[in-house]
Amino acid sequence: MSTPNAAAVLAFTLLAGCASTQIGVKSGEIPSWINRLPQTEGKLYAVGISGPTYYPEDAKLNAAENARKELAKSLSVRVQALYLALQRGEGHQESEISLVTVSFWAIDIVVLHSQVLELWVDQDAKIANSEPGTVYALALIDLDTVRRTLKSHIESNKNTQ
Amino acid sequence: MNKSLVGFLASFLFLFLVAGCRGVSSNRPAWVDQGSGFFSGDRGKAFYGVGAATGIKNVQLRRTSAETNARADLARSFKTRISDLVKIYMRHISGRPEMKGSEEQVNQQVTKAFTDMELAGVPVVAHHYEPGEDTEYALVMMDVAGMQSQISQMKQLSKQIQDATLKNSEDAFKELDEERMKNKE
Repeated sequence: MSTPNAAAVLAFTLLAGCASTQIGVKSGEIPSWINRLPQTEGKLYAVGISGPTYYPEDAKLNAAENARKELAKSLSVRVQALYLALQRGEGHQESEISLVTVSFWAIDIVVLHSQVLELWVDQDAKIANSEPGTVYALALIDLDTVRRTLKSHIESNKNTQ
Repeated sequence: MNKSLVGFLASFLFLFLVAGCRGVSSNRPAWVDQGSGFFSGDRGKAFYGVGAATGIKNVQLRRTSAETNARADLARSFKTRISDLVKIYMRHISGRPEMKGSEEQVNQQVTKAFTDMELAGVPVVAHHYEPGEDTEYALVMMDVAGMQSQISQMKQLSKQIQDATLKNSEDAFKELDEERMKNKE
């Protein structure tokens, strides 16, 4: 293959690769998924947020990472909550502590099999009390993939034992 | 009172009520006030949990806190241990019958509720921020029909995966220690 042809093929391959992994970054109006997540059978969606960072790309990465963490929470979490109330005469005190621990198998699966569908940059701080430049990411995971991965994990573990 | 005055008052009252209603009805979704429970939604009957976070300025923290509280709310409806302690103390002192006595009374009640549960397949469905209350609300859902089989499967699998991963990590640390010892030598 001649050098110009090879260069063209290489350029095309790189462009095609970029296009397939490109996440839609939007700004402007608040997307509907910020407050109401899409509901599709067999799929899980989650939103991750990052405050503005010095390099805007960092905020996008952080938001995507947080969206994946939120997906993992949707798959499996351990919830511990303690509520205390003290009533003495007229006085009344209440306190509550909640702790959520994400199962690590859920994190493993989400890291490998989730995808970030969309990023939205809140340039004008349209969300209440937010800072301009806050980034929101929408992530998705397919529940069938989760099931298949868990099964193959189990089978490979059985074979190695 | 003539008819026109009655008509004027009635229309004024009607307008006042309509204006009042418009002021109250914002875009506040019904689930915010409905709270947690088992009821019909967009995807059939499901368990729902509502959580709130008030006075937090950071958006990420505010939303995460609301979500955590919503999941805790859902878990609470399944599994909560409540211990309740009531202490009542009463004392009455008096001298002669004609003298006024003194009375003391202390009522104390302590309620402790502890929830510990593993939730599988509980996504966040919606968020709502109420500016007047400076409160973020989150709604989580456990879809019984769609998730039940996955829940049981995930629960069974999680233990096996945990054991395998722990073993792998122990091996990895062992290798690391061996390498470190080799380097020392």
